[in-house]
Amino acid sequence: MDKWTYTILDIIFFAPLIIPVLIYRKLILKRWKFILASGLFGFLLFFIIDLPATKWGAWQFDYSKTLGPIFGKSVIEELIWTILVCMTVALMIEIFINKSMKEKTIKALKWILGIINKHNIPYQISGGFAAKLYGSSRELNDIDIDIPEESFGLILEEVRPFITYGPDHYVDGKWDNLLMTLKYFDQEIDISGAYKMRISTLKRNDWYYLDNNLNNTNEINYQGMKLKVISPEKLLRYKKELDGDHQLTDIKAIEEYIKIETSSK
Amino acid sequence: MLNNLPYLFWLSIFVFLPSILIWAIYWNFLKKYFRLFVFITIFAFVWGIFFDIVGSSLWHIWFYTHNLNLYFLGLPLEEYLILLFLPQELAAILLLIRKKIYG
Repeated sequence: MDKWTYTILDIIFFAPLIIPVLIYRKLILKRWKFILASGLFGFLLFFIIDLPATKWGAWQFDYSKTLGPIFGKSVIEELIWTILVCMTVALMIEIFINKSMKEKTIKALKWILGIINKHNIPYQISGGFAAKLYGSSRELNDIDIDIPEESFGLILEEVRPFITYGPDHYVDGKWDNLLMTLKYFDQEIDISGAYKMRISTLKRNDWYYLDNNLNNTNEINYQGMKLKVISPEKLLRYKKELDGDHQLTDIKAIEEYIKIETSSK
Repeated sequence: MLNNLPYLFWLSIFVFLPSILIWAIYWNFLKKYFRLFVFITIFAFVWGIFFDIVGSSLWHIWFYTHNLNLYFLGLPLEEYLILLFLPQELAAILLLIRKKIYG
């Protein structure tokens, strides 16, 4: 087995990876760009750091125990090792982020929806989280919830310790609405007034009211919770007025969702 | 140092120095992932020791010549340093790549 020794070592130590790969295959498919980019980074890293290491004599190989292809004084098995290590670290990063993001989002959602439902306030989830529920793969920044303007007073006392902004009239280049921002254990939640919410057009030369209707929402099951979510069509319409790469990711996912929904009908 | 202690020199140039720079520049972003760094470092350290013991001490695929000559379980001190510091460096760079891709 002499020339296969390093290959066998790599196989033995990386074979168990198949278990998390199978368990998290959906996550891997969703994040394939990052996993692939990490592999590519590993490939480059090998030439940047491994070649000087072996050239300077930090460690040396017994070439009779490697397959043959040599780069400088390093070997192909080392290249494969570097690529696999980078992809493994990328997978660990994805699993960790996925788990911790989910945990804090669920915790915050349960808390805020508990308060909203206690007061029988109609609501809808919109923004990036709604896009995520419709399949967007981008990382969540905050949870956007729209409620009637007159209902802010009902929840104010209970959420007061977590307020970081408002409730106040908020205007920037894109939005004009009643807004209250909360931070609940590191999860940001934006509560917006649903009926007097204006958005500016993509060219930023005009404003219009969003036709929110909190009695006509989509119900989506998420982690055992029944969430009232803005319809994909309405979400898509206002997402198209916003700019940024993450909006494009959302738009693509929502369009895909609508396409599948339409074809299944 | 390059002639006498190439491994330590290499660690300084390719692991310690870049790590210090990355953490200094991106501290606010990276500190959010503290638990991830702890987990990856512990996991990679344990996995790496076994990998090195088999690959170097038992199967003699690679070996070390110029080092501080401080050996534990058949591995030089420099190897423990790489196992402790390289995984966090990789994780930091990959987190930055991920940020670039997904925002």
